Parts: sequence; C-alpha cells; structure tokens
Amino acid sequence: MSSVNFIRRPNRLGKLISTPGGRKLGEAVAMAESGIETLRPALQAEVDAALDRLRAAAGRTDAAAHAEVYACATAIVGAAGLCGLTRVGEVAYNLCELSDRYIEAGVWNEAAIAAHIQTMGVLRMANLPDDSPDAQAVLDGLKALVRRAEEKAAQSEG
Amino acid sequence: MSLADPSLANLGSRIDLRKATVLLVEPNNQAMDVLTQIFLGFGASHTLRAASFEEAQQAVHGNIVDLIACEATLQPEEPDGYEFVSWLRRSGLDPNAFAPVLLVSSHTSGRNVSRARDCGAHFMVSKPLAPAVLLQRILWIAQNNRTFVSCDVYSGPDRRFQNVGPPDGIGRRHNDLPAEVGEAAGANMAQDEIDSLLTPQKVAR
Repeated sequence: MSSVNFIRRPNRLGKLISTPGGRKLGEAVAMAESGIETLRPALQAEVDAALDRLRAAAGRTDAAAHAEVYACATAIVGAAGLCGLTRVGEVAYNLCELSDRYIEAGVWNEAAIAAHIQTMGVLRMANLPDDSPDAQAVLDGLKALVRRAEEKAAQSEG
Repeated sequence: MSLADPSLANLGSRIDLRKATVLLVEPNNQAMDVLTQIFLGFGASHTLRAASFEEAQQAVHGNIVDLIACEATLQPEEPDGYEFVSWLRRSGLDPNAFAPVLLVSSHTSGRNVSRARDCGAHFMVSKPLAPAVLLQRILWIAQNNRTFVSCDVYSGPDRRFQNVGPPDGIGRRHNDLPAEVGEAAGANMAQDEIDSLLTPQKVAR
C-alpha cells in the first residue's frame, strides 16, 4: 500500500514580499504594463516573423512541420495580445486548438490550417481595430471556411 | 485565506520582491523580455533566466529560488515545462523542490491544465500575460502556504481547494460513522479551551 506524506514548509515567499516598503499593487501593475508597452514594436515583429514561419511550415507535410505550425501559433498567441493585435491572437489560439487536435488524432486538414493563416494575414495587414465590425466579419468568414473544410474532409473520409 | 501571521500583515496592499530570487524559464526571447518587464514592474531585482530544461535544472541546482515562472512548452526534442516541474518536485533539492511555480502557456486546453495540476505547479496562467492576473496569483500563493503532498503518483502542493464530501451517488465507506449525528455527549468547549488546542504554544523543556 502506498503512503502519502504531508509536508508543511515555511512560507518564504509570503515573508519576503510582505516586508515593509515595496510597491503598491496598482503601481506595480502599471509599471509592468508600461514595461511591456516598450516592447510593442519587437512584439509586432515577433508576430510577423512567426506568421512567416507558419506559412513556410504549412507548405510542408511532414510531422515536424505540423509541430512547427503548433509552435508558431503559440508564439503568436503570446505576443499578439500584448501589441494591439488581439484578433490575430484569437485566430492563433483557434489554430493552436485545431492543430493540437489534428496532431493528437493523426489527421491534418490543410484547407482549415490555410484558412487560419490567411485570416491572420488579412487581419494583420488591414490593421483593423479590435472592436471593428469588419474584423468580426473576417472572423465569421473564417469560422464558415473551417466548418466547410472539416465537412469536406469528413465526406472524403466517409 | 489567513493573514494571522503578523509577518504577512503588509500583504494585500503592497508587494516587495526586491529580496526574492525569481527564476524565469522561457525559450522565446520576446516572451522572456515580457516576463522580465513584468517582474521588473513588480520590483524584482534578482531574476535568473533559463531558456531550456537543462538551463532551468542548472539554475535550481546553483541558487535558492523563491518563485518560478515557467513556460509549459520548452525547446523541441527536450522535456517540457511540465516535466521540469515534475522533476523539480522529486529532485530532493531543499528548499527549491517546494518553490512556488507558475506555469505559463499560450494553449490552456483542458488537457494542458490537467497536466499542469498533475505535475505539481501551483497555477497555470494563460498568455498573453496580464500583469494584474500574474500579480493576483503570486499574492494568492504568498497568502496561502499550501501543504505539500508526496506519494507514488504525485508530488506538489495540495490540490484540494474545497471539501465537497463524498462523491454523489457513491456514498460513504461501510466503516464510516453514520451521517446522522446524535445528541451531544457533553457541553460545548469554551473558546479558550478551543484556542488552547489549536494555537501553537511554546513548550518548556
């Protein structure tokens, strides 16, 4: 029978961060946000570079390319929302979900992947504000495209 | 959450990470810069940076760390952030094996969140990172010193957040006491008596 040990340790972090002084919580958050703001051009460049790598990976068919698609999508998610490209980040998150699901199931739908990449390209080039109805229309179009691509793939399998 | 410890009285209004050593594990340069800026904003002046599983291992071997922020996906073809946390929890490195760990990830699917819980991380934080969310998680960890659990299949902070009793439809074990409670056998204890049982007392040798 396996044993379970419960171990109580001193609260080192709690004692360290609660020493008198330091920063007010609101001030700490504001300073962190302004620090991120200084990275905005670099983060936008990161999104563009990841999009380029994504396009290259999507053109290949090997398993490593599928993993690269997933990796590029995660890189875009991490950067896009911090540099004013929230919608691009949303599409990238959907691509993470989709490619992860495909990799797990051992399938790959090139049309659905391509639709995501093209949508991110359109949103990036058009530079639409996050609350723009046009941006929403582009996302709705993506959903329809992916749905059709999935249905087509299911029919060809059946 | 309990702030009964007087040394934690300052928590909740201010944060002081000047004396804390924070390990940041992130393979992507831009993402590492983001993490660094966030912790600089929080006042951390001593951060260690690791870009891979191996560098993270070296960092915890050579330093005492007070907080770890670790990306879940590390370099391809090498163990990932989940495996680093699992390794750390069973490493025997004291006190680093018990260090608070925040796993950060762009893809927080149900499967990944379960992996984060099972590897022994304290929290998983989704990207893009919001400083307010990260700070909230750090404060929660600092205020709630969770007991560590170690057994064959798990090593890490106690994962139980609430006591919901026996699962519905399964019922109690045959040797459990009955759910119906009878009449009290004696008078209620006085508050002083309760405190004397629960409050740590100095023992004279």
